[in-house]
Amino acid sequence: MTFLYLHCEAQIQVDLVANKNQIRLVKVSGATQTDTLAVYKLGGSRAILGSWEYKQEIHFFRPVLSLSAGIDYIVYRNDRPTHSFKLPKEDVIAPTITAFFPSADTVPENLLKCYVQFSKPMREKDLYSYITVSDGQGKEVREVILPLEPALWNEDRTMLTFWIDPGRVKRGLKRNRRLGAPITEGESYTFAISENWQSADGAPLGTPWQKTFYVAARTEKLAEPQNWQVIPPKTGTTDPLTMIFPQNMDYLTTLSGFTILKDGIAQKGTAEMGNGEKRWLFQPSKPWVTGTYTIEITPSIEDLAGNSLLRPFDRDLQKQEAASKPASHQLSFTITGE
Amino acid sequence: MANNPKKIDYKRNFVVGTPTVESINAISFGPEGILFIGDSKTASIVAIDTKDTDAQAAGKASIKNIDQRIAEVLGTEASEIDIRDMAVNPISNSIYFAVHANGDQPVILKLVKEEFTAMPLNDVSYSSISLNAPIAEDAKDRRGRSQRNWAVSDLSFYQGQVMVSGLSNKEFSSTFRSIQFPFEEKQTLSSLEIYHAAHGRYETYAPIKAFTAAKVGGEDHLIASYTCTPLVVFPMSNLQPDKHVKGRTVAELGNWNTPLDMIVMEKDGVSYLLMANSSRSLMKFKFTDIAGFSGSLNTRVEERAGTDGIDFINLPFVNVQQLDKLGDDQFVFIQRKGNGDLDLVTQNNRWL
Repeated sequence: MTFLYLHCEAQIQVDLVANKNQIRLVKVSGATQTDTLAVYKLGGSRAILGSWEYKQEIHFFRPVLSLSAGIDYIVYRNDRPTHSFKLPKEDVIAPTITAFFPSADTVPENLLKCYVQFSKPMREKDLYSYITVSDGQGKEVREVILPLEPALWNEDRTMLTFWIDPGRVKRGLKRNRRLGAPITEGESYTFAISENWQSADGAPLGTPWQKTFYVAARTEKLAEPQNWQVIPPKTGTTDPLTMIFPQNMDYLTTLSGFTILKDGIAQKGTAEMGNGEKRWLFQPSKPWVTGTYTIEITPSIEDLAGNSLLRPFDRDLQKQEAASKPASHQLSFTITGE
Repeated sequence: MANNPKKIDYKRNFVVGTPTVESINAISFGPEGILFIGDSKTASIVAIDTKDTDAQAAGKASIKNIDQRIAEVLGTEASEIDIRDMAVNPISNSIYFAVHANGDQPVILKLVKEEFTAMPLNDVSYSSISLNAPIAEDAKDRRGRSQRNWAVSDLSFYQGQVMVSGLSNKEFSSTFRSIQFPFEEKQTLSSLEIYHAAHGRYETYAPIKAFTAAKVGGEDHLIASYTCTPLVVFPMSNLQPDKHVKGRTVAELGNWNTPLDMIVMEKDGVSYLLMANSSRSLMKFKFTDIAGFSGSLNTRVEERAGTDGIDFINLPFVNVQQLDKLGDDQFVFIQRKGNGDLDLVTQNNRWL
């Protein structure tokens, strides 16, 4: 045990410049220019890395990493502990899980990707330890989710993409031949997320979360845009344009997979998916006008099994599956004047 | 510049300032002490002149509980420390660590004689390049957020090129790019579509997770490992932009595993590939086996027990999270031990 004796040198004063539980600047006044100062973590044997500057009788310490609220720090002057400080932790808002995709209750056996949407940026470290998969009997099934490092996040770290082990989904790979698909047709599985997973600013989810899926047969058929149903909105309104797919689509690639054009000009608006990702809605910023609009399809949109309009996830060369006619990458709809 | 007959001025377009580094997924050294940083959040590669160019012999680096040690010098808890990558400067043999801490703030630390210092990311000499392809702006969600992102999965400098692979959070795909260095303002970023075939029947597209470049049979090759863990080799000369490239699958390395790091080492004139994995031991391959595996698993029908393809040896180092070469005859790695400790360990070429 370390006993720490703090010399009561009243002239030393420490001011902290903090923001959201993080101390970015430590100002030490009362020491002379020739004094050597250092900041240690309580119990630490090495000084905290950062830069020191002496200006107008104040020593400024800028730590390489912001210091944290809730930790005890000691200021050393000329190798002697002289002052301790600690910033109390502020309460931070707990994150929540706001969505999980696929949102349908039934998924194909060759499901490739899932997305979890959080209300705020999450911490990345050890994230796979917070996600578990269990079977219908509640027994944990290991080796379903691929523990990919670095993990795949959206730009602001609020949506995590995870893959169902592609080595097992892919036909022909040893893993698939030996163990079969990671999830099996006819079974149900529960994806659970632990309440201990923390947001980037250090608040845990607080409540556990789970979703149960039923597994249906493999999906083999590529998406065929000519079979999609387009429901045109009414002229003069900003009602959403609706597109309905016969199969469940991948959330993220499909959400951003279409551009609506009028006379060659891309229309601004917001997209949304619904009905287990069988429905795509586009709400324009400006009202619709009469005439013909074009829907340009990004060919890399995928279904739940990772098949895109460009290529199937895996292709059976003996069957020449992909040799069928290439899918059109454009649809159109007309808004009448009524 | 002794090894550089063309006398390329690698730092000719470096500027002094503060590069934007918001996250660090991969770091790797190039020539003359230049450190490349792969930033997923900004989708860019930053080249920093570390000025760490005094040649030093490689020592033996070993630190028990390296996460606790890093936490101590950063003034935080070990639970907050996430070591994202590690790279050895081949000139000074100092070891650099890319760390995210306290809610994913990126920091680069340098280890010299088993003591850490911070590598500043402000007022440095640097150049950078954006990896964002000049594609149509991605659709935003209802809250106006772009949902696309691109995670740098590996980064390496080889013969004047910065090679970088990245995985998309959207499409099941990877982008592999080879970028001329020094970075030029107007640069075409072409990507390669790389496929592999499984057992003569299924042709699949696969995202590259880790790679290295080396000479195999006297020719420059890219040795890549996919997220579904086949090991694939490509002659560099085959890697042409916008071309459907099919690699030669030389091994399937087992399940539920992603390759993390690959290095090439030599002993007594024999070259070896060492590969660290997320859920397997450190693997050792002989280059002559890679070159000598004249077929490809594409055409292989028979299944052997264990993994398929060329032979490899599992070295007795499990849970190796980071790996790099330290001098000519040592390798250094970060290993999660059975007791839960995270240690920095150096081993020498007696394992080769």
